[in-house]
Amino acid sequence: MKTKPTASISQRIKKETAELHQRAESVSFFSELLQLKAEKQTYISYLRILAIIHATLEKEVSNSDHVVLKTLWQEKMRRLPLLEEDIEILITSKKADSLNWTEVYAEPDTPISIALRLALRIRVLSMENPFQLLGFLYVLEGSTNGGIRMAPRVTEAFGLSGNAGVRYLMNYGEEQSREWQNFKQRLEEAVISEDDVTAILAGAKEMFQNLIAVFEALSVPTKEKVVHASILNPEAGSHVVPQAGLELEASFIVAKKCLQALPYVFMRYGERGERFTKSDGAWIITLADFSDRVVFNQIEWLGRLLSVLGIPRFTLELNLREAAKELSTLRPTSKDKYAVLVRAADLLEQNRKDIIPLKRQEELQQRFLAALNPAELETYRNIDNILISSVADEKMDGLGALGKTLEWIQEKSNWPKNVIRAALDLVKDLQSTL
Amino acid sequence: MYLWCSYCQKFIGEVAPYDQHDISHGICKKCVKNKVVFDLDRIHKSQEIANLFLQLKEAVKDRNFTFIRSQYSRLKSLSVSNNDIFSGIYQPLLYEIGRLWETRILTMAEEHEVTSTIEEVVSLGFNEIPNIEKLRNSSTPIVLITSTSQNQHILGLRLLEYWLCENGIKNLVIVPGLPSEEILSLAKKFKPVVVGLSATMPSQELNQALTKLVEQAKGSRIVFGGRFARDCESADLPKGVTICKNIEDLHAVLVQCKVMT
Repeated sequence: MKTKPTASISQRIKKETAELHQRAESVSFFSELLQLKAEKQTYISYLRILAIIHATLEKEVSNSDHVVLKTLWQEKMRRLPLLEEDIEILITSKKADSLNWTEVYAEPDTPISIALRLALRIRVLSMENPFQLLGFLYVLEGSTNGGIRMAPRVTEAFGLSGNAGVRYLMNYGEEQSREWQNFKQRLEEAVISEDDVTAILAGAKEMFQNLIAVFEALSVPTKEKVVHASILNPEAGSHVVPQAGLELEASFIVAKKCLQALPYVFMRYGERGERFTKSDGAWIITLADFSDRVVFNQIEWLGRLLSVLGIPRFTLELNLREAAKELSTLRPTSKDKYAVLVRAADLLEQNRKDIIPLKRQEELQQRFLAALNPAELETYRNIDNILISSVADEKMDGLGALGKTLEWIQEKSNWPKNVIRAALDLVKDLQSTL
Repeated sequence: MYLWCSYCQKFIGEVAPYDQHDISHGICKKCVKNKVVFDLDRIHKSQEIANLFLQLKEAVKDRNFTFIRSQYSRLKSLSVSNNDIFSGIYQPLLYEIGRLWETRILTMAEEHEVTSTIEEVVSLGFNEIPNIEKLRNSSTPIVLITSTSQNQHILGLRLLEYWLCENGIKNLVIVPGLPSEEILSLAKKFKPVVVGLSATMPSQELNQALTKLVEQAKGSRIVFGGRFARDCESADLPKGVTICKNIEDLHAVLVQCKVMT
């Protein structure tokens, strides 16, 4: 039977996690940071690991249908963008020390593995016991108390100025104390039973234990470092990315070019779309080491995977061509090796032409572009190709992604009426002849 | 397709089309040789296995973990062996789970939950093998299986570990994966007859690990399996590596190495 909790929930969490809290704060990584002895790289690693945890927790909590999570969550609690901003500032200054890209992005395995396991655990709990995630959230929100005290030491230790590089720690700024009180108040109001409190307590303890494990792993000096996908994109999980500095650099340039050429990705998927463009693009580059058959199979697999999500194969085709171009420029002696990426792009293009002849594609593109004014032609660049590719993908896969894309265009895209009309007409015209 | 014998209810093996994860029925060589008579009871059992597989596929889609757990005892009640259950039911189900994730019918968390449920079932099977402590995690393994460090999937290797134990082969299966240097060092230390690596995707790390094994683990036969093995051919891998697309291929290698008959 559910019984109403008798004491203040935050007091109980504070009391029951006091020992773990103290253990977390006494890990050598923190004492070194406070004594201005920590390495900048270790602090970057700390932020990157927190980014993996925040990315998953914030996504699961903000998308949850769970009534209590909805009550507790507020957009201003989202700290992933602050972490990304701080990391960017710190690695830019690190890059200025003439390090190559691998040295800037490589991280030790152990803390990353702990963070990735925790991320998976968060996803599972979001299905099994969302109340436990409140405990996770409590610990991270509570860390804003310590963060505001730590920020001046970090600024001093790494020669930063103002809030640059410490936005994560300074999250609420002068409002910190009030925000923390508000969070605790919302928690008290939302939790209705003793069972809920038990789950929150378990979550808080689990979060502390994982953070302690991460901090302890960070405190161990290690020479063995690799570039992890989750460093390029905290939600990417574990997959292969280039380890060579030049290929890594190429993947960043390619991602930037693709996002410029495909505004649709940001329009529909926001910063998550940008992050996955970066990590998926990095994986694509690693394929250049393999035979045509292997590359084609992998590209076919990724094409289907992305197309289901509403990212049609045209985006992949563009990525492959840009990657081959960029890599051939950066490493001209390996131009032949990267040609396999062009051949994979050609295959995707040919598959689309087999379904929609090129002449037909061009007719529809002309009609679509004619319906847009000059400014819109830039804003909605390649939307015609995205739509044509979506129709071709639907014909190939039949998994309903096109329907969801059209629904998004009509209901959520905020596109002007003429663009929506032109987009829907293009799809309708195309479907009527297939 | 996964072929079962309608006569003795044993799993025969995989047949084309390999990307279709359904059950089909035929007759195994043993039943042909023994001229087993087909009767109503056998028809019912065959139908029940096929139906049960379809129900399991639905249960995966519905995230019905209780149902998935409970069907193990139902299969056992049909006198189907653990090896056939794992190779002919749960292995195909694993591919189906992968497909459902790829088409976003299952989320990553749901995929993890379903595979964890199946892992629980498989762990029950281990307890039924006599002398399991002498076969599993052996300090003198005949077969060493692991994957490269980027590979996080473990259930496929657990199923393989079960198959090795059930066939009385001393083995060491290490999950999740290891860096290539550690794999090589284990191969050198234990000198197993067969060293197997598994991977879901191509990577330089995989090729480097396989190359090192071929060059330096001289006494061991190097095999490669896993999802990526199903998509590749010998030319895609370093020379000297044998691709095992399924359990029958590994069986053939073990027979050649005189580990099995």
